[in-house]
Amino acid sequence: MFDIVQKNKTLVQIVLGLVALGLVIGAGVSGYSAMSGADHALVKVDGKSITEYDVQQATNGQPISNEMRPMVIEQLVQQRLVLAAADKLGLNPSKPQLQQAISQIDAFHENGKFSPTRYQEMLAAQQMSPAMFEQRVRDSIAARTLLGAYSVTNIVPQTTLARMAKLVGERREVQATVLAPSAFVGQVSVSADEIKKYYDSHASEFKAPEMVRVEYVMLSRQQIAAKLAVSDEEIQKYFDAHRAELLGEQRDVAHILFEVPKGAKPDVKAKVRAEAEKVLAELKANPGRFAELAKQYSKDPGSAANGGELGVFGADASLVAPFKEAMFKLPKGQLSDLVESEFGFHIIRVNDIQAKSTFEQVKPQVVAKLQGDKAESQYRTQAQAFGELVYQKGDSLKPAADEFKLPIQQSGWITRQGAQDPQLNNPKLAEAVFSDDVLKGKHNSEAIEVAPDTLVSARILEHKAAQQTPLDTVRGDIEQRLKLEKAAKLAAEAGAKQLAALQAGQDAQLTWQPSRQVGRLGERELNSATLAAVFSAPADKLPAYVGQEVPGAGYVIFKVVSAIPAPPLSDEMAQRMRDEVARTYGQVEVSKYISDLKAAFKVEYRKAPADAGNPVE
Amino acid sequence: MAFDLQEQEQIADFKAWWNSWGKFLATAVILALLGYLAWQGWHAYQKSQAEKAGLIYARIEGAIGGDAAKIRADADLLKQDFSGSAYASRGALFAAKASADAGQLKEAEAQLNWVVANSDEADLRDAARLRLAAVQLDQKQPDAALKTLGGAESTGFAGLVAELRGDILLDKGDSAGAREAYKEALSKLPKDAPNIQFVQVKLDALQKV
Repeated sequence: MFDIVQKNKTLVQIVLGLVALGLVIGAGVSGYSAMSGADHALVKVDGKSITEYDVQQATNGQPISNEMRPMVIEQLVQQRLVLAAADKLGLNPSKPQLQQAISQIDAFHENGKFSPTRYQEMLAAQQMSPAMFEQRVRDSIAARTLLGAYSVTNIVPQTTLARMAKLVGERREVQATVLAPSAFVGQVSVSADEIKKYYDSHASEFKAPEMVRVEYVMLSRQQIAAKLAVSDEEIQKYFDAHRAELLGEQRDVAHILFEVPKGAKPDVKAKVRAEAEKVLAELKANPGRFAELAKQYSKDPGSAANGGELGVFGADASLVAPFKEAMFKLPKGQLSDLVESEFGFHIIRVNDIQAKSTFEQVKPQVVAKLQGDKAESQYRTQAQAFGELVYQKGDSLKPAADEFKLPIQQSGWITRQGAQDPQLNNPKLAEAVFSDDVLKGKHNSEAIEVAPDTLVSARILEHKAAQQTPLDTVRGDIEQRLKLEKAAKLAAEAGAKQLAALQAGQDAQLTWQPSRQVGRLGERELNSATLAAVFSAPADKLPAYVGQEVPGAGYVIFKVVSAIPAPPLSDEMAQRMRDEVARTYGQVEVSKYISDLKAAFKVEYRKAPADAGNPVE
Repeated sequence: MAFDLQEQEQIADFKAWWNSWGKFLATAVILALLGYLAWQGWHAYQKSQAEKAGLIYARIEGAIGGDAAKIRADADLLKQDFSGSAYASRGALFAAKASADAGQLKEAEAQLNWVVANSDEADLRDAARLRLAAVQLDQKQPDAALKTLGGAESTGFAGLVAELRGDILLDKGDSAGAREAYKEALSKLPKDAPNIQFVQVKLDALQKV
């Protein structure tokens, strides 16, 4: 079919995603290890290095936090282990196997058959070479073959399943009553002595951290941009070039295609053009015949039968470039001249145009964009000079402020953990202002990028060493805390007493919350022991009572009102449960198997470079 | 061209050496050459074997959920012609799974027994034991199942083995034994294992109040 709509991009993304998922443990990219030197190895698995480059590939070049890094590296280690084991066991797919697998991927099919052209095109759209893609598929098959025996062949005994279905499906109806500590606060008192003792033994909790206040100058591209003038002409020009995206236009288009076969001789092409021009002339005379002539002449099988109607497209439509350009220039209802694309000649008509916004609405956006673009080069130059100036004239911010016409501002308190002012809340800045050079040497900090295209240099105004908060400041808090602790103890005692009374068959004057059902799985509120007790109360001797201390909430007594046995499972449900449980156990086996592989292959972790860690206090 | 005395002496030495060692050397070279060729041939053979086995395995994998008898036929083919390959045990496990799903427990058992007896991978043998014990339990042979699990090797599957042992003991009415087995499972499984709450529930259900 004629592919004016190259709509398959997402499809390939999905397919590539699936192939990567086949690895079970994340997307693998191989074939690049030769590019990176062994010196930079973060980990060596079976003699092969995992490098910084691999980490970046694994995260698609997205920056990751230091906490995430070990996890990503661990994934890569597991992936390499799996591939090493598959290789050792001779489970690498052969060429025919690889070809078979690729040829079965639907996205590469045309007319129900694998199409090499399509394959090339789709990979090109992903900026991937066939070699890269084939390596991925190969790794994926090897991993699946190695692990499939663990992940998908699990057999769960019916006996076990039946018991589990019963356990997981049965429920208890319970009512709760809560003895909250707040109700007992009135009965307790806390002595000054106790408060002092608590304060002394928790001294580290009552410490104010080291803090500084700074004066600073900030140079940003945004500031530069705001001062730049943009002419109406420039605005109009940009608007015209981007009107479809700016206005969120949706255009309903129709076309007639006069097909020029690929590699056609000039005389063939001329013949097609002549025919197209004839039809165009006819249409100009009789615009009403568009649908009829489209049916008669158009070689686009998708739209010809529809009178040429293609549908509605926005600025993000994947259409061949000349066609797209032409259709977004056309006024509503007017015919285009002949538009030449790789498929041949098109006559295009725009039936309708819908826009989400108006020129006036998007104008500020256009101005900001043009200012930003203009400011770009100015900012680069100034940023460099700024950095040099604050360093060379390190004893004052004034030269930099004068030179770049920036105000000298004063900050709120900054600790090593962060700053009060949001625009200064940046770990690099905190590190800089607490550095010896700035804090003790009283120099300007270097220029620090606190946000994209925003530089700050700061110097110390005021410094407060870490200090103990005086007892009087926190006395109230401590008293409250100790009272609650004591009250919680009282609540628990009272609760336990009432529970005993209830269990002995006495009626305690309690208000019960409305009843609710609980199951054995997924109850957050009840801890394991309570849950077990709730369920083990004999069903023929209800109500029964169970108590539990809940940190923060007090003492909770549960009254088990009734037992609801598990509903019978339909065959379909039983089958689904069986599959699901088998899959769960498959996962356990796979992860256990991979940890066994760690013992079977040599895995050497290198120490992380010193600058990778957070600054230490 | 004339050789000087020293050179003549060297030539004579060489001739004497050649007479006594030449044949041996030639034989050695030929043997090395033959060995190299055989090694190359062996590799090519191995590669073509792996290729064939891989294609059969791919067929099995693609048929999962389908006709158990067909999957078994392919698995048997792997066992017969490529018994040494890692594909054979994997094929047998797939065949066992398909058989068990179809309720053909005897057939499943035969496949699993083969893996336990023939696989070169300890983890895979233990995986087969877990499945074999499950199939035996469902055939009301708890003692055979316990015996199967008793043969488990020291792999990372110890937690799973303990859990299944608990299931079997409970089936035999041995609650105390089951409780101990589930506790062992909890101690051997990673804290974040997805089955851990199943074990906990099973254990809780046995807890004395």
